[in-house]
Amino acid sequence: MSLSVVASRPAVAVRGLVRRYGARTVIAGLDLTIERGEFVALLGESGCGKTTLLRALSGLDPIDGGAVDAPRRPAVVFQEHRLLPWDSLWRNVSLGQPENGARERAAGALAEVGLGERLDDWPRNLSGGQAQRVALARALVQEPELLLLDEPFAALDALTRLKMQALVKELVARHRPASCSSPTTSTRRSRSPTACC
Amino acid sequence: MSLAEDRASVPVAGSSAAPRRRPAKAPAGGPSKRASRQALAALSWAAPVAFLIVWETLCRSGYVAPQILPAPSKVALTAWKLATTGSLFHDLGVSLLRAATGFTIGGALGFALGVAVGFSRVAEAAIDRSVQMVRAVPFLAALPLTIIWFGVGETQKIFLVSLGVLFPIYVNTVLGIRQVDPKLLELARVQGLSAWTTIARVILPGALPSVLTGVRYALAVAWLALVVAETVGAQAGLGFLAMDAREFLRTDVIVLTIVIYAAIGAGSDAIARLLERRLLRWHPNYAEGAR
Ligand SMILES: Nc1ncnc2c1ncn2[C@@H]1O[C@H](COP(=O)(O)OP(=O)(O)OP(=O)(O)O)[C@@H](O)[C@H]1O
Ligand SMILES: [Mg+2]
Repeated sequence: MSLSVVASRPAVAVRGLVRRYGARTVIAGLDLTIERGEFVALLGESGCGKTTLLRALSGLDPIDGGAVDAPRRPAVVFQEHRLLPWDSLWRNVSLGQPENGARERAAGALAEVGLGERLDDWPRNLSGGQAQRVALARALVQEPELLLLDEPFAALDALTRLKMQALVKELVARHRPASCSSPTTSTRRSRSPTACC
Repeated sequence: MSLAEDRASVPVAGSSAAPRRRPAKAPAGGPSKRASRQALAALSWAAPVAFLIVWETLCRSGYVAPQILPAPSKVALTAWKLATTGSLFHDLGVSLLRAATGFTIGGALGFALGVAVGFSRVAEAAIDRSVQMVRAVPFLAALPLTIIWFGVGETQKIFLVSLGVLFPIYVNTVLGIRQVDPKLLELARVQGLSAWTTIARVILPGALPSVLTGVRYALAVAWLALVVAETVGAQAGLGFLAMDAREFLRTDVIVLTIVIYAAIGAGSDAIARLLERRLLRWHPNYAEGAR
């Protein structure tokens, strides 16, 4: 599962990445280049290391070899929504954002994912798909250079998942970060913003 | 005394219950539902009221001597007399002040230690074992020692209350901080939160339900400590009122103080519940209409 695209100033450049858990090497010498605005989907069977790679790219985990050149603060959408249950939706979306005009920006991002009416609602009142949309809004409001999605819609039903993937595609096309995603079932080599793995 | 143990020992109800058929729901807040709720509330008061009536009848008919147990009406009358002419409010005030002071000191200390130990492994190594060892002592066993140290003045009472309050707050604060979802801490890192923002936005709110459980438990302990301390020796306060009355076989005054202790206990529990409902609005278990 390695792929490289040659270009001038890639958003992500990974060379010979090694990642081990104890004695088990999960990623052995991975090369990966992602261009700006490119959409890359990581495909591979369960346990092959998709999450591991995303965690290395996001800087959450240390790496055991090679080099990762990626934006310092990518936005991440996890498999679970990870909303703070004690904060309203807009407070969740603006987590880590400057206070000034935070509510307005959060409102904008929530509107983009179709939840513009629910600014002051609690996360517990949301359906699974809605919660993931808020998580997506929280990622987008950061205007990230790199957006990492780790099967954020895996727990949703097939129809909702298709809708969510369409939404992501549309939002990515609008915001144009480099994106890297590990989709659940659908095999994607998306051409609009860009490509895959 | 640990609430963690208390909680763990609570049985999980109905996990293996046979499938139940659900009755069709009446529209929420509809008139019939409200009426049935009122009926249930009335029913829940039936037993206590019946108990009072039986008690009153037994006393009036002379089956129970007033020196053993006074009639409820007599207790009410005594309450009125003491409130208007006696020192009831003064004594009540003295007791409340002792409890509040002890609770504040013990609570602040317990919370501070809990936060330190919750966040820092070094602090845990330095403090936790000692606190756990002291905690193993039933704190009321220290009563004779506190009398020798402080006499039977205010300091001794406040000390005893603080000691009782410290541990439940400490234990539940540590527990709350340690139980914060690591996935949310990871989120805080990904969102680039500073250490301080992480504490304020993620860790403390996450620990709050546990801390409030500790507060509720500590309130009960504070009263227990106060009753014991005041009964052993005091120049004012509810316990003094009761012990003074004992000299003259004034069971009506004694029963009155017991009732007041109970009322204050119930009151502080209500305050704790209110705090929980206010501060934990986001929590499914405390949300409006839950439970
Ligand atoms: N913290 C850990 N400690 C030890 N081994 C781990 C740890 N996390 C993951 N692994 C192992 O690393 C391998 C890759 O895991 P990873 O989570 O990256 O898989 P994945 O491709 O995301 O799978 P899935 O599609 O099921 O999410 C697996 O074999 C897993 O058991
Ligand atoms: Mg995974």
